[in-house]
Amino acid sequence: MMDTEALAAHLAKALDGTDIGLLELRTPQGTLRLRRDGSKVVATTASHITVAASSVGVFRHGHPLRAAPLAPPGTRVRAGDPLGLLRIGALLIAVVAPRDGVVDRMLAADGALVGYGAPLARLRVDPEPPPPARQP
Amino acid sequence: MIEILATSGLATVQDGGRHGSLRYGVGVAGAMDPMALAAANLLLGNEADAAAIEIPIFPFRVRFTAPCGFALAGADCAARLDGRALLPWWAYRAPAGAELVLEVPHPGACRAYLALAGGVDVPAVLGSRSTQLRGAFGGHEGRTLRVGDVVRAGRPEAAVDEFGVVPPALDMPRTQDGMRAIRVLPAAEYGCFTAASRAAFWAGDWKITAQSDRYGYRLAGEALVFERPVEMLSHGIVPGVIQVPPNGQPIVQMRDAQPSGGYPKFGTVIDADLWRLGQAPIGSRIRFVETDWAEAVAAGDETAAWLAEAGRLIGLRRLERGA
Amino acid sequence: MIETARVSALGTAAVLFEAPGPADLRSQQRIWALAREAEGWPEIAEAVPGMNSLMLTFVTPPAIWRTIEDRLLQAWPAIAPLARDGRVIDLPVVYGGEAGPHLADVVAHTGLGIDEVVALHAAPTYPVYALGSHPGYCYLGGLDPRLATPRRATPVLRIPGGAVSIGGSQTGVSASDGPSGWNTIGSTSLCFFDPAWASPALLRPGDAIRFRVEKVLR
Repeated sequence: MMDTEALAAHLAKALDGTDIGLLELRTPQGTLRLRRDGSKVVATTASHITVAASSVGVFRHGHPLRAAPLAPPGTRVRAGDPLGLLRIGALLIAVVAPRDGVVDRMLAADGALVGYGAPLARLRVDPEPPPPARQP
Repeated sequence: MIEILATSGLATVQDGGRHGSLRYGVGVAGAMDPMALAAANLLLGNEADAAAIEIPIFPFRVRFTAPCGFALAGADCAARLDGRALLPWWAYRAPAGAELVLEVPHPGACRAYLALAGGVDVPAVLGSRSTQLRGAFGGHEGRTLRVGDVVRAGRPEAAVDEFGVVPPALDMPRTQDGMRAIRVLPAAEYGCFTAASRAAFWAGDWKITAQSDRYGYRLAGEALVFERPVEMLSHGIVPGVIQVPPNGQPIVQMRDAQPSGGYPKFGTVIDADLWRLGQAPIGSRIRFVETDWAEAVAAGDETAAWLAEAGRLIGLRRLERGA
Repeated sequence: MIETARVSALGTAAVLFEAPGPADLRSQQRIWALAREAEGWPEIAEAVPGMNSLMLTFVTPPAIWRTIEDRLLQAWPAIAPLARDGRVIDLPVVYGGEAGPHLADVVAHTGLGIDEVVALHAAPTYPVYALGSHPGYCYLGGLDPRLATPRRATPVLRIPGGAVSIGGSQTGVSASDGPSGWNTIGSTSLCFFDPAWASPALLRPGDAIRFRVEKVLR
């Protein structure tokens, strides 16, 4: 299997000459995205993280007083933004995004009783910034 | 500490009420929705009946002039803190300079409560921090809040964990045909009304007219008819008493009502349902449900138990989170 | 006026006791005595006399209604009047004109002239039966029955503090601005209430008021 860099270069070449604007390739190692930027093709890698329940409770996609879910798929979120709520008795605890990113999808149904550690939401997080270049 | 930036009127400081001065002609005042007041306070680690700001008309804007914990409960008013959307029935930490905006509420409830860490810090008068509008004492200088007023928090720096509580109306719903169903215990003059009137009272819808406020809710519906004219002497009353003046349109006495009255009484809204009525918006319709002493006492126990359990869970959470 | 004592519920927050017979001073003195006794009952938070009636607020409502009903009905017959040696306060009153916008209605209802209404109103010494309505407001006994005028069909939104009024067979003085369904016949200036005082209300049950005619405006 080619490494990601080589794979990216290979795919960029393949996109050249087509009018495909975005190619997203999901692998167990993460997601490779190639995006057309003018005449160039830019490759970025992202990874997904799973946000898990911090306790037993009932998972809610939105606040019980409101119809709309807090973070439907595609929502861009900042670290600390609520993705959903966990109801524990009379309490409501926010399930928050640990990092900036985009909501991929909910992993537990609205109203599902979940246990500690149960996967609740999948987030596509932005890539970490590249390490600073070494001084020669 | 907060500064009022904008208010559409009638916002007052209220706590659980002023008790023990009825014999001087001083009514109880206090929050129209004591359940929301309690929830907001408990989320901050305050006493359940600590003073907070009751906001009945929107929009309402304040600036936190110093870092301060706060909580919102009651009507869901699409609150934003420096533009960040907040969840209803939730506690938050506000940094210095942050602006909190409360907009017109989602339908279904009409009064919001803004609690501050340590409670709203105004002097207690006759044992309470509630605003006594008639007589102008208590609360913030005995009057409604105005732009430019500064309201202090008792312990603004007290630790706050950001989480929420389920609104009690969701856990203990009481509706009939989509309308709030309010339980009423018949009062002394119940038998002075015609049988047809009494039946119509329980069967019909009652609209909360625009002439409704903290003093009383004037209801519109089928006029109640007296069997014979009743002229009464002044006697003690409590919030919830449903008075019937000669025109037959009932008035439910609310928190700022006079502590005594001379109109005939049809019944009394039970204490355990006053918080529901306190959130019924102007223009909404309600139903009344006849109840008896045992049911009314049990209803009081039910709401007290809900609060005790919510308080217990909140306390545990705050403890484990180091708040 | 009711024939037998009546006990009724005000929700589960309070119980209302209404004494039978005429609302005279002796009956009111028995109400004060019952209030003093009931204040000592553990389930009672506050005893609030009304006109020939007594409201008792609960610390927590009794599990069974009958217990409080029986307790009051059994206590009442044995209660002796509690006489109070109170103060008598003189109130100078401006009758009529802007100070008394409803004097004409009292004249119309009673069939008496303005001067007769004023004279009959200023003659008695009025015992303070109870406080209520708003902070410091006194319900007075002793209104001449000839002056009785029913409460207004539509209450007035704002009557100033100091307003001297007649409602049904009662008379009283407002201690602060507010709405009123009574007929305002005059005005006085005196501070009836200050929450900073040790006892916040100027007057208490057992005191008395005399109205002194300062002026009559026509």
